[in-house]
Amino acid sequence: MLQVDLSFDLQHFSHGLESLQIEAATVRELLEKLDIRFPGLSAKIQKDMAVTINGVIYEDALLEPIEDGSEIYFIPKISGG
Amino acid sequence: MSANKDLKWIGTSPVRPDGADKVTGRAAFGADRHLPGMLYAKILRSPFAHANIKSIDLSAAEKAPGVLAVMTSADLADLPSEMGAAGESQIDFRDLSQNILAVHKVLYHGHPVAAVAATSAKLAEEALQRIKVEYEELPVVLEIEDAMADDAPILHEDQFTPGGSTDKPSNIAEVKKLPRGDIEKGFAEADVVVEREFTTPTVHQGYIEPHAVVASMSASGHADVWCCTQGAFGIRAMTAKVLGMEVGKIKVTPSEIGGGFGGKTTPYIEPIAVKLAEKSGRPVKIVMSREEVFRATGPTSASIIKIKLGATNDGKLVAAEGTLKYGAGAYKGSPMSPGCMCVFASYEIPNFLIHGFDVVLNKPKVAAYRAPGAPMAAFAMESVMNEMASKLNMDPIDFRLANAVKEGSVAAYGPKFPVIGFVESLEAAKAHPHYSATLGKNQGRGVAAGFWFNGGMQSSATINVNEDGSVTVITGSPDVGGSRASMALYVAEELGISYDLITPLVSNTEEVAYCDVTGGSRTTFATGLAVINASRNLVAEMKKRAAASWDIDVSEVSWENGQAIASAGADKPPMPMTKIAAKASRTGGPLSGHSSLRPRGVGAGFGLHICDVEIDPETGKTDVIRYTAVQDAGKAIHPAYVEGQLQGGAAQGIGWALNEEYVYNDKGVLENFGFLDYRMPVANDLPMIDTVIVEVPNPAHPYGVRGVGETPIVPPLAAVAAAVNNAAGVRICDLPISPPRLLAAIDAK
Repeated sequence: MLQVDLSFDLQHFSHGLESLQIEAATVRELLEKLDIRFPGLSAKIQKDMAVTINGVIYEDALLEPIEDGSEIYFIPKISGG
Repeated sequence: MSANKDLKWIGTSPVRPDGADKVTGRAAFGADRHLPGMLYAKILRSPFAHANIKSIDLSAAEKAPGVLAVMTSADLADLPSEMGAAGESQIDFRDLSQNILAVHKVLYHGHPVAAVAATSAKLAEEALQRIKVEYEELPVVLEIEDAMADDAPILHEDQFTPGGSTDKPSNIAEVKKLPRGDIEKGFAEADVVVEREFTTPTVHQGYIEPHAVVASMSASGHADVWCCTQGAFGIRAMTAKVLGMEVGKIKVTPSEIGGGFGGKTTPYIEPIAVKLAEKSGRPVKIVMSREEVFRATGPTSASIIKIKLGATNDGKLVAAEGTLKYGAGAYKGSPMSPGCMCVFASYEIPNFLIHGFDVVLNKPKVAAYRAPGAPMAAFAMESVMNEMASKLNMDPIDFRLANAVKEGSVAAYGPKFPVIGFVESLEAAKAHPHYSATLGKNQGRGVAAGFWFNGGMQSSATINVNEDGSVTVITGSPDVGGSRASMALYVAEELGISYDLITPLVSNTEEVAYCDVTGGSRTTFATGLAVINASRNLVAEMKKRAAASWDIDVSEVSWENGQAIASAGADKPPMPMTKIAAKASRTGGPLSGHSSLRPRGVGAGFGLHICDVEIDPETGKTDVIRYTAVQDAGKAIHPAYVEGQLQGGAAQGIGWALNEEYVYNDKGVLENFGFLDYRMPVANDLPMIDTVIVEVPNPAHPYGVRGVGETPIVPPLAAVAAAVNNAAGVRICDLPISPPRLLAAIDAK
């Protein structure tokens, strides 16, 4: 089971829900399941967000496997100067 | 991770390969390309900060002497408002296009309206005078809170605040909220509460080289673009989008670059040059003047930031609240979001609430500037941290140590931190002799910390071995800070050959695989990883060639010090790389290694700066008399260039704190559009900036590298302000702390 935290930027998709537990073996599967529950969330995440898995940032992580018990957080993609 | 103690090349500071050409004037920058038959283009810019465009008549300009092409926004693709990836960031392509050439409205003084290409720059300039533009002037709004007011002049009738009214357009383009815990409960637990509001001005990156481009178009519709840019692939993508061209029909070659700092990641003149080249059938050059750079390229945001902080008497932070308002300029997209994510990122705070606002106003659209959004946020937060430490009677570094994030801390922006070096940087600063040095009359000391995420993104590298065993390493990362030397050091270390045998190159978009922008402090980390992987692929291939030559299994071959070594039982003398290279045509063909990747495991950067100033209470002048920048680099591949990044960031931050600001009149016309009046520090303004490179290795990189380029601009604003406030016995919360402002504060005491 994964612990998924949703930042304020994503909470209008989740109707204010800040965190949830969900089962998924890859990032792609996680996004698919989140999108079933909160339509539009997957597209927003894929377009604007990076995924962190246990603190490690993945900018393009669809195929990335996720171990059971991992903590997932989505953060805006950061540009720099 | 490689055993750093055995390194032969990494950690040394050889002369940069581009150095001799740069100091002798041979290096080719953006304005240094000259093509046969080349035309010169000039841009007509708005005389008003806010106006509707009623009509544009180019007919007289088209007939002017020497003119071969004219254009307006009608020559660009008609793009809908949609966010898309452009280089490293998300932008609205319609905004990008309209910033390059205005359509129905001009939104800042200097906003481009039309362009002309002629046989000389003088004739192009004269032709501009013949263009007739009819404007309808509109009220101007220049300040953030004026732009947020209900009765503010509206810049975009189709822009509405998300979550707000859908009937009334607004200059507030975006809002952000980052909550954690319960701030009411947190502040109720606090023994001491400090609340302050801070302002920072619009400032420019101050790159010495203006934007410049030379573009030509072949008869088959292929564009060839030479320009100074931090990211050739990003410029290609955005130019293609704005012109409605296929990406594959544009080649972009990055010239040497005289500074960028984020300001050269977006196109201003490249699409104009390409279109004029297409229309005229001739190459076209555009070189911005210094005045154009100031008036019409992207500075960074002005800001208004309020911080409220609560702590217990034993020095633990219990609550924080931040309201961050950033001016975006003419189009949405200030660095408000990273500012909100950074403002509390250095500290463990169980309860906080952050509100952010992205506000448009009649100034040029902002562009990235070194850790975008973070310096302003740190100015506010670090200033309040210093005041809190004083109220708690705690040493300011000890106060930070008591609350510093560390491995496993939950970052304010969400995820847990992996291994980081903030505590180590604080401890190194506290132990530095500067921190305990005695101060004299009218002198004061300030400290401040800084954080930046750093970036990963995409990079590619190719390594080619020449017949004599020398090597070329090619990437698409423009070299803004010495990265070519670092790439060569990686290759030298991985292949075990001399640095002097390696030629590092930066290539164009057709001759190297995709590389994201040189920015985000990512090049030594991400492009470096591509170079390391390409090197390892090459070594694997050379081992195979040696094995084939020896007629043994490749598992019996190792690689050391530039040689293939057969296992003891094989009884073969080592085969140096020169020999493998010489035989390559007979052992399988040319030798090369390649890697394209998007790495993970970016290591965040933390630092702490110490600043001593001496003020003149009669003139208000501030002299920085000693400055030390401490920062965790993970591993300094080329220590001299890491020092250069720390010193350069500090210098820019000092200028931001003490002198730099855009000065506008009430009509929105910039008054200080040159380096004489936009006063950046020069060499005799600053002491030698001492640096301490802390190395807490990033476990996700073979050599432990963390990006270093942006973190050093984050602490100086607060460090300098604290030093001045301590020296003068005042509390100034508005930048710059220029002599008139300091004098007024002293007089008001």
